[in-house]
Amino acid sequence: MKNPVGRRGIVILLLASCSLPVMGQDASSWEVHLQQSISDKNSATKPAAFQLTFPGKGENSYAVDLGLTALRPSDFGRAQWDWGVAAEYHHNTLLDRKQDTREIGFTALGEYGDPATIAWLPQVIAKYKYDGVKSTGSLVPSASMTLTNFASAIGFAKGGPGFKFFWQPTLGVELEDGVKAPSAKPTGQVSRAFGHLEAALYPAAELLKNRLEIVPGVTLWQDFAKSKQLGIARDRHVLRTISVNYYLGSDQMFSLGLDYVNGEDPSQGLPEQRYTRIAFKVAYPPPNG
Amino acid sequence: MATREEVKPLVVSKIRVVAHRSQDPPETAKLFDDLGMGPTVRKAMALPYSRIATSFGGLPVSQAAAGALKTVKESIELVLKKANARES
Repeated sequence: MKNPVGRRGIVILLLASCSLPVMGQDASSWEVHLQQSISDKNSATKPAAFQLTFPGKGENSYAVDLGLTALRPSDFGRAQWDWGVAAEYHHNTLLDRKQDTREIGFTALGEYGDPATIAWLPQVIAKYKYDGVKSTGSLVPSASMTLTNFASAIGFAKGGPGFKFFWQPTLGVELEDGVKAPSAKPTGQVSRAFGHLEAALYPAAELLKNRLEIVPGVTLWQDFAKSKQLGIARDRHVLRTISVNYYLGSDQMFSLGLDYVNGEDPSQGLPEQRYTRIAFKVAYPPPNG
Repeated sequence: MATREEVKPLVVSKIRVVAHRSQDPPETAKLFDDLGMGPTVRKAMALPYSRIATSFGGLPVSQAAAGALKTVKESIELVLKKANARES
């Protein structure tokens, strides 16, 4: 596997991001939001990202990660579902991390239970995914579930003035049904189960006013059924990430961050890769400010 | 038409129970820094906020809108706005 870190050194990165309610909430019960991905599995917010990379050597590059949703909340008494249409776009021009994924479909975010005790948040997505690098198209239905629970610190920050933390687990299944491929290349189906685990750590929480944030995360995909003609050798796919952010103001809009990424993301067509980057980040609205 | 005086105690009381606090938090309290409510918990507040808003004949609160809230005051204002919103 190529290691961009060793070959290029750590890149200087400008990362600007936003998560905007685009449409006014008074005019309609439909709300439009821009974020990094329509998959809602992460505890930390994932705003839309635009990245410019200026390596010391080699060509400059850019990356875009956008998810756009138009959702309408519907109240079902004991439950609520926010449902609607969604589109997603991931593009990276860096030669050894090339990515060009476009997705469109339907999504529904549910909620059951009571956040005072335990709340369940399921998500259902049905989308068409086009991978521009491989020139393949596929239908991808998926379902996932996360939860909040005070006693277990799931979603709730626990600890004292010296250290605070919370964590967020997500489990799900997805089917990728290849319906379009270049001539001489096969189509087929892959069924995967996945689990995502993420924690947020705040050392010296009171002294630093939660400005120092360390977010390790790991996602594991396990293929449990796939068409033989696809010739996918591995059944297991892992993506490990660690983000260290220091927020520059109490509103948490600006931060300096170090991101480490190691692994692959078959759901988004992200190939196996390993890199570290230093980033200046702008987030609107701020995640916890 | 719902008033702030009607909505505020309902919202503050729900936040107090969810954050497991013995006293009502002040309006200036930050949901994460002061009350420990992470992003997913704040999204999960959409359901109780919707119950409050729709009890006044208003519209439900989305998870995205609830997740973007930062303070108790913002939470009161959002629920009040949704409680007085009507389907157009």
